[in-house]
Order: sequence, then structure tokens, then C-alpha cells
Amino acid sequence: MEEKQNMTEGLVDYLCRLCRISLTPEECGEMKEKLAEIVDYMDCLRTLPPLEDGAEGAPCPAALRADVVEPSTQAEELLRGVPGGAEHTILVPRTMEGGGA
Amino acid sequence: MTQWEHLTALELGRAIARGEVTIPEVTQGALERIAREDQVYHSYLTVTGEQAMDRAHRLQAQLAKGVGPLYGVPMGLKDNLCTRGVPTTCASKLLEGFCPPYNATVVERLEAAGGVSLGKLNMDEFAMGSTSETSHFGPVRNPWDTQRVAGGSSGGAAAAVAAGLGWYAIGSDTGGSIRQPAAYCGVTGIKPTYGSVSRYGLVAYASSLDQVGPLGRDAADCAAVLEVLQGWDRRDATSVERTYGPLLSQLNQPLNGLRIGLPAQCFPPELDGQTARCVRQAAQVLKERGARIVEVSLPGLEYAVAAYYILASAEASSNLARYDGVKYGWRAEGTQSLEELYCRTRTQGFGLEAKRRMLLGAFVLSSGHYEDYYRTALRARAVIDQGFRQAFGQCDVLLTPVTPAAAPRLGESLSNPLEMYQGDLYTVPVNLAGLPALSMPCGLDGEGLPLGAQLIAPRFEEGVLLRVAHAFQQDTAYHKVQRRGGLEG
Repeated sequence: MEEKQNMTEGLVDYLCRLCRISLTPEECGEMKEKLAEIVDYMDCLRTLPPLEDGAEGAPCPAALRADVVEPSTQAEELLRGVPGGAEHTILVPRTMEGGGA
Repeated sequence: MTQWEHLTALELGRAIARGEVTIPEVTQGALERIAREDQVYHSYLTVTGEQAMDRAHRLQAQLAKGVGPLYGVPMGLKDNLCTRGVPTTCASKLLEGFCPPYNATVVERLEAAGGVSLGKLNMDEFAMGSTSETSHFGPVRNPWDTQRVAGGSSGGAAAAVAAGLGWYAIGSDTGGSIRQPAAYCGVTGIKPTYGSVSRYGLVAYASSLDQVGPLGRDAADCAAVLEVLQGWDRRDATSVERTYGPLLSQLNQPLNGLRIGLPAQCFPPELDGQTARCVRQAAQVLKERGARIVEVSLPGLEYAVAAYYILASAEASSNLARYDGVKYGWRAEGTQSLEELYCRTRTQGFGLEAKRRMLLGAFVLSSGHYEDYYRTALRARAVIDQGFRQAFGQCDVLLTPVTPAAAPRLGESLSNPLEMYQGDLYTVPVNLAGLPALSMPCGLDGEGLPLGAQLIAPRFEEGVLLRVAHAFQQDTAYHKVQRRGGLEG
């Protein structure tokens, strides 16, 4: 492991932007403190021994199959849960021209 | 008059098949108990009373000779399993009111086996938590002591079974979410091998670790339910295509010669004395049944919690990116741009623990940290997998505690998330290695709270786990001990 970067409020702000969430200054301070404790604890992995056979990765099976076209859920049914949807559409705020609905 | 709520699922199934009680009678009784008692426990988020009674009457009309052992037996489903037309919230504001247009594979399988769903069970938000206190809709209370947590994330499932508000329940287990609440609530639960039960329709938390499984009153009930759930499903790419053997019919095979390993690393000097004593006594019971007890080593265990929370948080940050208020779920009102819609929906929709794990996940995946944390955690996962392989060279089944101690009091855990994560020491290694593991009650602590023992086996050896647990439950009565105060009547 390289030298680690300290958890700062600036770093928490950056992570919030990546996750598209926002925190109040008070929440940010508390989050920084808890994340710093957790990341410090995770540094125990620095003592990890080398793997016996040099293999890396997870024992996670995943079998890929050929794509097969078959009937799926009707669009009408899928759109039933859209918040603020109308007439087979998904309505969102304007994404261009400076925003606004 | 027989107290039907005291029976196991298999006993009730036999009573239904023999005509000693009808499905509508037991369903109605369960719904009445939920209405009466669940205001305290809060194990259910949605009770589907009308649908349950309709189904009970339909199943009763179709009752015939040769039905399966769980035909007509009422149960509950964790609220992260998709149920067509029935709210599936994952205990989050972000999915409040969301009704999936399809059923999870396990729901289809249970319906085909004659299951009657009483409703959807409370849990930690998006299965992120060890206490079921992160539920947006309020915490689950432990039926043994309502000032204590029921465990998590399948806390509602464990509490419902313990309180007699359903004969069995379906939960999910990413890092111990079936086994730990089962231990805290004095019921039996099994986390199957990764790939043996379809995850199609299970709302994803950490896809390489998530697995669906049953909680029941004893190992035999879990065997019956798992026999229904297991099997290949083409809709889940991680589902393993193989022959899945019978579980129920194998329960009574003797344990003669079976090697049960006690990993030295799981019994450190600082482990709670009552927990260590109860688990070691369980080993003694199994020895008297013909098993051989061996001391083994489980190298890599010390890296498990760190590796688990890196990998689970990384996967969670990716999986939870889909909740943006656009296609389904809850949406923040009055936003002026798409970016603001995303941000305000997620900020107001997610709880603190979900946010913490997403931020942690973004951190370990971000440029400059990916190699140090994510890649290293993958290596730790492989080390832990090797450790298990080494241990299974010396024994057939491992026996460990499920948790360091009994259920904590409500409010004690969330203020110190790191300590809460460290409490998952015994359960998370199993998910990292994709193994099956079972939690069974093995005693009470000094305050009369249940303690659990964990059995771990090599991949696809669920039959051995259930056989060992069943043998233990033939010679002990911990699984029959009623919660403090007992069931009514």
C-alpha cells in the first residue's frame, strides 16, 4: 500500500459529489470522523501475506449465457412505477438550456 | 384445542394435509396475532391480509393427497424480495410505495410449493446494518427483550419467526444477515452456497456476496424450505447449474466419524465467556452423537471484516447509483435541473448508514485508492478462501460462534459503526468465500437471551450442515425455548 491520504472534509465533499448526495457541515464533520476510523481500521490489510499460488480475485462464479430474445414485461407495467410519469413517458426537469421544468 | 402457532412449519404442514386444521384457519390466526402483537415488534412493513386469505381459500380448495410438506403454511418475505404488485421498499424512503411488476424467483418457487405469504418483513435499509435499526420505517424489536435489537439485516424475518408471526421466513445474507438475527432471536437460519439459490428479484446490495435463504424454528424446517428455494435459474448469471440433492430425507443420517473443526482463531481469550462455553458445549453434544472434534486453524480471519466492508461498500456504491428518482421509487419535489433532481432525491431518500457505505465505496474505488483498498481486499478474499480450503482439509464442518455476544440494546450500535462492523467477525468470512453456513440456538446468556452457534461447510454441502444441526436439536431443546414471556396460551 502507498502512503495513505487523510480523510478530510474536502475529501468527503468530493466523495459526496461522486455519489450525488449532499451533507450539512455538521453531518460532513461527523462523517469524516467515522470514515477516518473505518479507513484506519482497514489498514490492517497492509500486513496481508502473499497468496500461496499467486492467484488473485474472488471465488465468485458467474456463467455467461447466450442472449435469447423472449417476451418481457410490458412497457405499460414497467412505467407504472415512474414518479411523475404521464402517458407512457418519464418526465424529468429540463436537462438543457439552463434547466427549468 | 391445539395451539397451531407452537408447531413447526413441517408439523403444521402435516396437520393441514391430514385435515386437522384448514389453511384459512391458520392464516386467519396468524393475521390476528400480527395485528395484536406486531405493534410492539414491528417485524412486518406490509401485511397482505386480504391476498393471504384469498390464497389460503384457493389452496384449501385444491388440497389433495401428495401435496408438498409446506403446502398451506403461512410465512413472511424480507422486503428486499420483489413481489408483483406488493410494495417492496427495502425499508427505504427511496422505494416507499414501489410495487415491482414481477416476482423474485424464490417467491415463484414458494408459491409453487403452496406457500402463503402474510406480508413483507422489516429490515435494515437496503440490508445495510446489523441491527434492523436503519429501517426508514422504524426499528424491529427483539421478541425476547423489546429493549434489544432483533439483529440485521433480516431482523423482521427473525423476529417474526421467534414471535410466532409466521412459521418460517425468507431473508437474505450478505455478511451474516440471516445468521446473526437468527442467533439474536433464538431461531435457526441458513445462508446457502453462493449460486445455489437464485438472486433474481432480490434487490442488490453487494452482488458478489448476496444470497437468499430461510429462517425457521428448527433445522428440519430450514431443510424443507431450502429444498424448495435451491436450484438453477437462467435469470441469475451466478446461479450454478448442477444437481441439487434432497435435504429433508438426509436429515437423520448418523454423524459417526464426521469431523467437526473448532478454529482456534474463533475462540480468542477476549471472547465473551458465555458464548465460548455454549459453543463448546454444542461441540460436546455432537461428539456424543458420534462426531469427532478437532482443533483447526483458520488463517486469514483477521482480514475478513476489513476486506468485507471494502468489497461490500464498493459494490453497494455501484448498485445504489440506480436510485435517482427517475424511473421508479421516491422523487424529491420542486427540482429545477436533472442534477438537482438526482442529488436532492438521493440526499433526502437515503439514510445515514446507506450514505456512509456509498461514500466508503466511492473512496475505495476512487483514483489513487483502488489499488490500496479494493484490489487488496480482493487478495484478502482469496487468502480467506485458501484458509477455509486448508481448514476443510482437516475437518468436514466448522463450528464457531455466530456473534461475540447476545443482542445489544436498541441505540447502542449505530453510534459506533466500526464496532458494529467488527461484530460481524464470524459471519462475513463465509460470504467472502461463498460457503454455506447455518446458525442455530445453542444456549442462553446470563440475562436469558439466546446465543447462536454457527456451522460452516464446503460449497454445496448444505445437507451436512442441516444434518448436524438436526442431530444437535434432537438432543437439545434450545430451539424450543420460548422467548421471554412465551407465546400466548
